[in-house]
Amino acid sequence: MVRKVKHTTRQVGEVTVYNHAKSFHGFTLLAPIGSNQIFLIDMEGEAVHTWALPLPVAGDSMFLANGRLLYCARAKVEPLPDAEGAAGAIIELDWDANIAWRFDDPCLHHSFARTENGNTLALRWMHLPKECERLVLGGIPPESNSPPLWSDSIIEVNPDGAVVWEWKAHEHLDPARDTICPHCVRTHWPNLTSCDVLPNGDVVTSLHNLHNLAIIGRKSGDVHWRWGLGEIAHASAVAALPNGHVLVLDNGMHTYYDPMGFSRVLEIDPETSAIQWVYEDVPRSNFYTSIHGNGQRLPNQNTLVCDATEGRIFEVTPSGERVWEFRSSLHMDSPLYGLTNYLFRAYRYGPDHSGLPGNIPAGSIPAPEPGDMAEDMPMSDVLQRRLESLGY
Amino acid sequence: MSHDPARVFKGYTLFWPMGSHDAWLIDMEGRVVHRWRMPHPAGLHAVLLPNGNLLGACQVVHSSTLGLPQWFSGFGGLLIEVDWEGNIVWEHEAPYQNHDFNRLENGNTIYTTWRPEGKVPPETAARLKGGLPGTEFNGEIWGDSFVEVDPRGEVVWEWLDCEHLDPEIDALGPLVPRTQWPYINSVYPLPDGNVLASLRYSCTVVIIDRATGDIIWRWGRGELGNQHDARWTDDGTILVFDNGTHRDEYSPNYSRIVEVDPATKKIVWEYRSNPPTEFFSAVMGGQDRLPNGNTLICESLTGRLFEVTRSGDKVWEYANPFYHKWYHHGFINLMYRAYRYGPDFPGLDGKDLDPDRYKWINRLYAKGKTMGVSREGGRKDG
Repeated sequence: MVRKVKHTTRQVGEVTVYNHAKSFHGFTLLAPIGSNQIFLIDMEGEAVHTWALPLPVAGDSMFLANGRLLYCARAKVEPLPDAEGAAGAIIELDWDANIAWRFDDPCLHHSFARTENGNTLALRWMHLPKECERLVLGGIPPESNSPPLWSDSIIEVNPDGAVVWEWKAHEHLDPARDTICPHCVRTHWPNLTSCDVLPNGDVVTSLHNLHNLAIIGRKSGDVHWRWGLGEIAHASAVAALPNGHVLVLDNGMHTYYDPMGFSRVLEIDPETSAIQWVYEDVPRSNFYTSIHGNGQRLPNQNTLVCDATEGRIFEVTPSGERVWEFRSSLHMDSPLYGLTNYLFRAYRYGPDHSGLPGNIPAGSIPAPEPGDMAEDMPMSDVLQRRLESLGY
Repeated sequence: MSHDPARVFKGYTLFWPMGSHDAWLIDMEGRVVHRWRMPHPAGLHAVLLPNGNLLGACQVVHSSTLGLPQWFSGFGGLLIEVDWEGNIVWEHEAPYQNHDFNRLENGNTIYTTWRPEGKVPPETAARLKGGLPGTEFNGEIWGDSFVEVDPRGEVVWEWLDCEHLDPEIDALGPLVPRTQWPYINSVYPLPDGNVLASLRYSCTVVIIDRATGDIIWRWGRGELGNQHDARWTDDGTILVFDNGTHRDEYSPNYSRIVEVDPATKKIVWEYRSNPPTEFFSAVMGGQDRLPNGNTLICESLTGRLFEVTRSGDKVWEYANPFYHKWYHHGFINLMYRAYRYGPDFPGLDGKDLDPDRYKWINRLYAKGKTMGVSREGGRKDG
């Protein structure tokens, strides 16, 4: 017997490709830059859950295993209000969009990672010590009155908001070797744009203005591995995979050699620095997001890709076949980009994801009032059909 | 976004898709009114001459057939002039010819080419700044040159860039290979006999004195990013397709058309879309200033042509429906450039431009091809 579940859906875009047999079914987090709402959409592109946000989307957002949404919010940003990825706060919302946790720092930017112990790794800009500044090479030389050069640190914040670990880029990078892109103004060195924790506990991050990735030893802070220079260009997002490999979105702006205007997603084995897998479109220029975007490896080995500046999210099989594609119709007016449907990054969560209502282990979050679940639980048509096919 | 037939420059649009043997002439409604079947695929474009013939470059060579690295691209190799029916009336073989050519008023033809004998001398190469260190081709850098041939194919003028460019002022961009300097991708004869050219890897547009070969004007460094198609307008200004890759800034990649006053080196007009990322072609691209002041833009990589007014309103748009296999691009509706000719253009005088001659092609490819322009020519807001 089918139990009717009340749910409301909202059209937030259009699914333009959907191969039911080959895609990984789940809910996709849709977070337009500048939006006051973040959505979970189903495979047919309908919003099945909406978080009304206390502050607009400024960067990354993730749906956590505890059922909460963690996102980079556009809060008070003091030093660099016009810089790409400026955030100022990381906010955790429960399913009903109540603030469950919030960390404010006017220098926060781009992204974060939630660690297994419940702490949060966050990226922040910091002033580069004056004595280091003249050692840093590359970039377009400032004509006069050079503004201070910004550097980055990665901080680990515990649930109480205390910083329990910090990695400062200038203490571990080599200014002669880790040089700024020659087509960029000397404002940031290195400008980290993503971070993630590898299975061995080390941290992988993207050195955005240096055209490089790095793996940082969690204990020593040493840079164990650098890769990408000459191969990738302004890569904005790197993610750790369960097998220890990393998945990177290579944006492809300011490319070495002849820039043809295309992005790629690459899987790299840091042990050998060998490229294990590449996705690019045919023709290649059909997939190009010069800024932002990411790749996510899904449990069935497909890869979800966020084509940020097209407002497009798509899923490809290991052989590169596009089996799902969604185009966002949500346009935001941004002082940085104008009226656009830009996204930042996207992630998909399967029906077994522990954060979905009903899947959350008892006791992990306050239990809802009896009856509320059935009334409010959003359910997609796909999920409902699946339940029906199973005889419920 | 409005599309307004009352504000377009009415005429016929010529384009030759990459990888295709067919050059097409379409009307304002996107219907094919003429087709030239060429003996080889596009390499890279064709223009209609006032005598009604089509002058184009055919792609008969490729970097791999010439034993060159992939950074040598945009080859034609064979200049060809055909009449309205496609009969060959003139041919000129030039195995390293690439990117651009133009017919002069005296009937001569000027084109851009690489030449095995035109390498940058070692002492100049040693002083040449920029580019990725160690990326020379077999230790050498190839120069670009212009060649002018008369109707018999005799060379009447040559210009070799490395004899006139400055290896410091005209340095390569920091991230390009040191295989070629400066990678010239357009050549345009000026009314006074001088030559306007686009130096892609130097992000610079120059004017070359015809008599001395000297560079008498240069502009673009710090403004342009691997630009294409520097063209002179009737107003005495220069239009450039600024692709935007390797532009000295970090922002979402966008292309733009810039119009520069050569006297002041100031940008007097610019078109970029809103948001800027909606108009972008990493490579290739061109623009045609039309008699009513509008500009026809070819966004090559997306296969899109559109026409904008002085105020930047888009009044006509066309998606190339002809897809062809073209090297690593795969199946693509790429075109290098497009040109618009008014109905009073001498080359169209007395020509049969009835789209019904191609009604089966139009049945397949012309349905709704111009976006927002109705069959009746009425205004429609989209």
